[in-house]
Amino acid sequence: METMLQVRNLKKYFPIKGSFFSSNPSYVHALEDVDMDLYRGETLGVVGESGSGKSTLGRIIIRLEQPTAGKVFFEGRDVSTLKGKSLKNFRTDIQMVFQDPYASLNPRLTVGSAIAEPMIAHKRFSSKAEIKEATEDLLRKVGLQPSMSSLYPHNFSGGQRQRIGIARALSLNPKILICDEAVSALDVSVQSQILNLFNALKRELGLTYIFIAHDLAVVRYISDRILVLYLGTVMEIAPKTELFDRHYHPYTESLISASPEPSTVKRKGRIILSGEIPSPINPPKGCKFHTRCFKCMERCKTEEPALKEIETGHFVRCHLYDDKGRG
Amino acid sequence: MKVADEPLLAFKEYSMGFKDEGVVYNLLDNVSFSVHRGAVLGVVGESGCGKSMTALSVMRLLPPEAVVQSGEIVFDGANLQKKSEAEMEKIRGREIGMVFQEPMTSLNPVFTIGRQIGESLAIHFPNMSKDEIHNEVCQLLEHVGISNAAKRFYQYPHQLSGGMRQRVMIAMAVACKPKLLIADEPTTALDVTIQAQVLELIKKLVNENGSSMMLITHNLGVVAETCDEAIVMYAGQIVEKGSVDHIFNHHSHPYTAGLMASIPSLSHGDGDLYSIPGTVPTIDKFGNGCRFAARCTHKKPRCEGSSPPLMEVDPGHFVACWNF
Repeated sequence: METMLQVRNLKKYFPIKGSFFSSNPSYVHALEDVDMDLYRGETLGVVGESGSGKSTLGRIIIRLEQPTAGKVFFEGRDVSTLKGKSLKNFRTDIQMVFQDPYASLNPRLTVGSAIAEPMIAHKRFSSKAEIKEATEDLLRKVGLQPSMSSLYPHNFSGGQRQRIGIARALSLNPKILICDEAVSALDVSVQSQILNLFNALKRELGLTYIFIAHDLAVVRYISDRILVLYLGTVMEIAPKTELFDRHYHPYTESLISASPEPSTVKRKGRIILSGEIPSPINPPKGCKFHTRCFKCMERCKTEEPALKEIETGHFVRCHLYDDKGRG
Repeated sequence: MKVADEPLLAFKEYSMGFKDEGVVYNLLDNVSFSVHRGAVLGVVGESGCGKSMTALSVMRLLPPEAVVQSGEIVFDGANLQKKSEAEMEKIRGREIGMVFQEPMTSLNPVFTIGRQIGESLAIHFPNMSKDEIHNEVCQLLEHVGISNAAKRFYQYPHQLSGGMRQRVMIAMAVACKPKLLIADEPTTALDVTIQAQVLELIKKLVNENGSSMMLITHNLGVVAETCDEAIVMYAGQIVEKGSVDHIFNHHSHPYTAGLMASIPSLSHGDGDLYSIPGTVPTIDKFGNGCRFAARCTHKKPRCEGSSPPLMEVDPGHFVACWNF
């Protein structure tokens, strides 16, 4: 497997404006020492509750935010050092699909010009006819009529708008698509259409996805590997089947247990976590999850566990597995 | 004398629509269902299917463009349509409580949560003293799982997290121990771990007070785990109703089947997901027949001409489809 993207020791702290006199400013600890690899042609699912840093991770990878510390390597090159032309090229290689199809399209631009805009900005084509042809081709690719390019966003339903967002993201032939809650706002019957579209595009264009979502069932359906984030820390990374069949981290276990299943078969021993995700301004000491963990031990409160590879490709950050696997 | 098995709430051939430039477009078409005493009824469907309008019809809080066309809504033996506005005010909050989806927009940002929860008590029980209300509110807060109630009483909505705000909304809705609780997408804005907590809490409260609940949601998983019975709505019509077992294990309507097949579940395989062709029609294009006909894979010539009534295919299991 070829590694396409590497994230190493990524940290992101957002400063909070304190009072004028406060000497030490406080920070939102959005990401803490995140390490991950993305392989060519895979779909990596990123799950976690709100405030877990999922979106920040996506935004740093695409260089919409600068990390506080740590590096992102894309095809072996440090992304933060890119400038000028190489930065412009990098921008075309990774594109993003956003959550809210209502808010991410300009209501005053026709759909055709919204899709054409990145191609014009990057001077992909010299003539208007070529751009028009490419736009219509993209619309066809995402399952819309080429004739729709002269319509405005308000003419479209939520699912169709999401298709337009995808067409726009595809306009520069990216290698990686980051989907940030791209199906969360859609109804189930529309959601299934868009998920199928993502899979079809992956096969057709050889895309690699980072799929950020809070819905475990969706992530399970679309991903090859899954990364579980909690308070900006990677708790578990594993291939999908491995994660669902033999999750090791208590947090992963409780997430899976809490997801409502559309079935009348009663599940045994449902775990309902008490409390809520702590504030990322003052994250707990020791293991970040210890305040809500149902298997919490004394040492979890003081000592943060390391991310360890328990089985090949299956990493867990939990003291329960200290004497298992490699550090 | 009230018969014990008389339902608490019954929609009887209720139709309503919206007026636009003199033309009335029908939305809810001949809707009939009941919420039984002590039971939890799930109302499922996608956006625009009329779930929320069903809830607002009960509360008589429909938007001004709405027109009730026919039928009645019977609550505890009385037709709600015939009540005066003053009588409705005694029912809202006292007899029927409602939890809304968006806790941030439905809480008033300039009042403390204690005052907002206490408001319905003060209105419906004018004999309660200020101290009594304060104590009752603190108990309610503890009851919905908000610790340190004495301090929280004086906090404002912005000082609470999303899950906490939803707990406050629930405390408001159950403050007067209503007979019926209507919850409109109560957990949609919440994380799964919090969603599980809130659903547990609602179930517990409904059980303790011996009340009934109408749970409106688009999440079939939530219905399966919370409800006793369910109705499935499509474009303002009930396409299927029955026990949760009927709906999930023996669903017969093509729309219910399509919806079930569209959800990726935790136990789902890898193949393509099923997707229902086409999109939900807009209100001006509903037509006279079955509103699902245009997207249906089992369509017959008859389907576009007239809409099928709900037919009982099994005891307690109703389906509106000409294929039966």
